[in-house]
Amino acid sequence: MNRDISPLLGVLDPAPPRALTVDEQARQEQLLSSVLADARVVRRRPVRRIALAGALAVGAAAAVVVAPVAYHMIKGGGGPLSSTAISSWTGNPVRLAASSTDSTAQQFCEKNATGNPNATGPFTVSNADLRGEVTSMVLTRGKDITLCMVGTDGEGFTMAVDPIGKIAPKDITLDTAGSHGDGDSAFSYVEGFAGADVKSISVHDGSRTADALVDGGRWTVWWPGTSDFTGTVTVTTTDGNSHSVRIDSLFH
Amino acid sequence: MALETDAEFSAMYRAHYADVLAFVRRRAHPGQADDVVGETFLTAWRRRRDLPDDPRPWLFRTARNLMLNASRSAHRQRAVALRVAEQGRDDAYQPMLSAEARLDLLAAWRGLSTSDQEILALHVWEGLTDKEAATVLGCSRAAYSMRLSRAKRRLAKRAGPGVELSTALVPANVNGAS
Repeated sequence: MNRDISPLLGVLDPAPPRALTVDEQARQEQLLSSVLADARVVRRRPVRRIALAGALAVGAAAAVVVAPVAYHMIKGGGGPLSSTAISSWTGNPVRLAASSTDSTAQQFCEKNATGNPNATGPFTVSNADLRGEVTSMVLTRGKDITLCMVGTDGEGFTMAVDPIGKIAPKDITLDTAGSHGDGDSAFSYVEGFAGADVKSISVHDGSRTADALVDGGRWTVWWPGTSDFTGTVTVTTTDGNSHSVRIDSLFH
Repeated sequence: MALETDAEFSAMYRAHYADVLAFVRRRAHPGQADDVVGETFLTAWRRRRDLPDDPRPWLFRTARNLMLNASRSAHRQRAVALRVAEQGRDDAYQPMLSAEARLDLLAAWRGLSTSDQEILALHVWEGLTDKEAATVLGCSRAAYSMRLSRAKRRLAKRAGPGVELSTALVPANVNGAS
């Protein structure tokens, strides 16, 4: 059999050739700054877990030690959040008004916000919630948007996220997700966008159920432990209907 | 290609970032792709004075090694598993195959070993020459060429006669370097 059908495999390419989007270009430059900065600063790096495509295929998580350069490591330890902070986690978040966020937490988030370091002006806070000792919030200043999580002990992390994109009223999308830390210091998070008719979102991962905070078209949630994101997300809309999808089906 | 300055490294980074990102996205969990890419370029920075003139295969190999190391703690692997586009896309590839033929091709792909998938992906998706692909995999050019030929035969055999190549419809950006 001499025929070569391998060129047809292009139709299965999960990352076909295309130009970077504006947001991807921004992340490209941010990552470059991080690489150049990290290369010069010797500091302790956290252990981080990475679930690979192959691990997903066989339903098993794989562990790896990879130095993170896409987010800001603030303190040492097993991960960006302390095990004490993570152990205080609650499945239901306490929604915080932007004006009632813990000032220490907000100072941390503003100090470590991603984006233009020379930007000035106030931050806008959204998606602010409290799970145990951990405050999570999204800061926006100009075009720079930062997801921030920080414990009452001052350990935390920030990462750049995208502006809310166009989305159908009953749909949700996933903007970013990941797992940080190791052992008792491990946690997983998801951040994405929700349509106008989305009332609530819950993530079911293993034995845990975490209710996301939906605020202004963006949803945020985190829970203890690493994840291969093969759990499910249940979306409930304002008409009372619910449907569930696998978390990893939201990756695109 | 010894890179001495931030500017030289930045130019190399910007020239290859998109390719490395795509390479990693084809293999790593989507939520972790940025971190693998970041670690790859961090390694490149540390080795900037030793980079080859064409750093692309070196960058791919470094990213691949990072992903291989990730799975070795769980089970020994010699190849990195690849993701596939689960649904048809609205692009130049779309008219090339009927939905049924696409499913046949997908089934044939999934029936291949991870090693065969990786060899074919470097050829078709990354568009590497045999020499470049051999650098990524750490084998000889001859060994890669032989393995590629066998992988192509196994793919065709598994796909059966229903999946045919219509050369008139193959888009210009289908990579077939060898």
